[in-house]
Amino acid sequence: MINPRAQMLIDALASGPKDVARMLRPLNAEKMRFVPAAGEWCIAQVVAHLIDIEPKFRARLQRIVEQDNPHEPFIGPDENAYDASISIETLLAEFAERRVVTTSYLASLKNTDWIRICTHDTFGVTKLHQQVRILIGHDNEHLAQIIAIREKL
Amino acid sequence: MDFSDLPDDELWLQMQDDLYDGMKEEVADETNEALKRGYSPTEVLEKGLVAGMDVVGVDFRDGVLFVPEVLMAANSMKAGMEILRPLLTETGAPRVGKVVIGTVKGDIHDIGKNLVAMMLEGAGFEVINLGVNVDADKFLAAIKEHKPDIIGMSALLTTTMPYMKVVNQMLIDERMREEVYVMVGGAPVSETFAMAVGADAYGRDAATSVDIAKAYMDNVRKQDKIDKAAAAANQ
Repeated sequence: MINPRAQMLIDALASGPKDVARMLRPLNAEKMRFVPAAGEWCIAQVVAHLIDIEPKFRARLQRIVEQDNPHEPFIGPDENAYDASISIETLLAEFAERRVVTTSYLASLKNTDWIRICTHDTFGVTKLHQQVRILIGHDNEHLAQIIAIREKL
Repeated sequence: MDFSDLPDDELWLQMQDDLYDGMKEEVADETNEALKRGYSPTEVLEKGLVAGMDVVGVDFRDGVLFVPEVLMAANSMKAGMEILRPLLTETGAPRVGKVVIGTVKGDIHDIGKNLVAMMLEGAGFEVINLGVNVDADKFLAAIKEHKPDIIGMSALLTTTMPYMKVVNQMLIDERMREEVYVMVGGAPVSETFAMAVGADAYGRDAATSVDIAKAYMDNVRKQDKIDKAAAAANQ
């Protein structure tokens, strides 16, 4: 049986794609491609970034479970992750699909796995549950970014 | 405990003192004693529990009391409220206002939020406490169901506090933002952050949050009176 705290984190992660879709609902395709300023991201790029990060972050979680205190570097954004020819609907579906793989993986873990550690470049020694919180925080950071872009439309 | 020998004034003071000291069994007995003397549930709430909790709130704000003591006081208040709540519902006592409150998604910290909820209840608000890890959908469903005057969001983590902006934007998108007063609070939250996420108010601590909520409802009632007077004048 999953620890209720772990379940809460899984639930919070699971609702990430739904929240992103909700924030995009009032927008048309043109607005999703709106670039607020040179060098800044459009909303579609933000979603592409979330898709790009998901398997990389999941791989980190897997290393924490499988290895003894792995060293984890910062996962930076990949500027090539965005393909403007892919529709927003496809991007959202892809993000949701990838997130399900992550939450399913987390749901399969033993309670003791949640306290396994890694040493992160920025955060230092962190437990798996703390890394999951970081991923939730990453969702929130980019949800806020989406809203900030919407405010500039 | 037997409080039947105490004159009424002393009973209220004793009740306030016991609440302050976290003596929940005594507070429950005093609540029953006051009701036995014929005081209405509203009077018992105001003269005993709320008056006691007001002092707790002030002392907490001023650094005289700390969280564990406030929690003990809040538990005593809860003991009194458990007796009064069904009676208040039965007698249709007027509520100051209605609040939906919750800790945002990804966050399981609820001590401060529960404290605010209990103190709001003590101040006469009807409080719908959604608990922890509350996402935008749950806030939305609760707002549709309960039609609150105020929604309160709490976060203890810097990673979860941006989610307050998501809930606020959801309210705008659903065209419900004008219908509710949005208050935010929690250890990492500040006045500046509250404004940045589009909240109406920042509750620095439990006592301040209650003061802000009461002031807002006072303004709502004043505005209602003005609107009614204007409508009557136009007839």
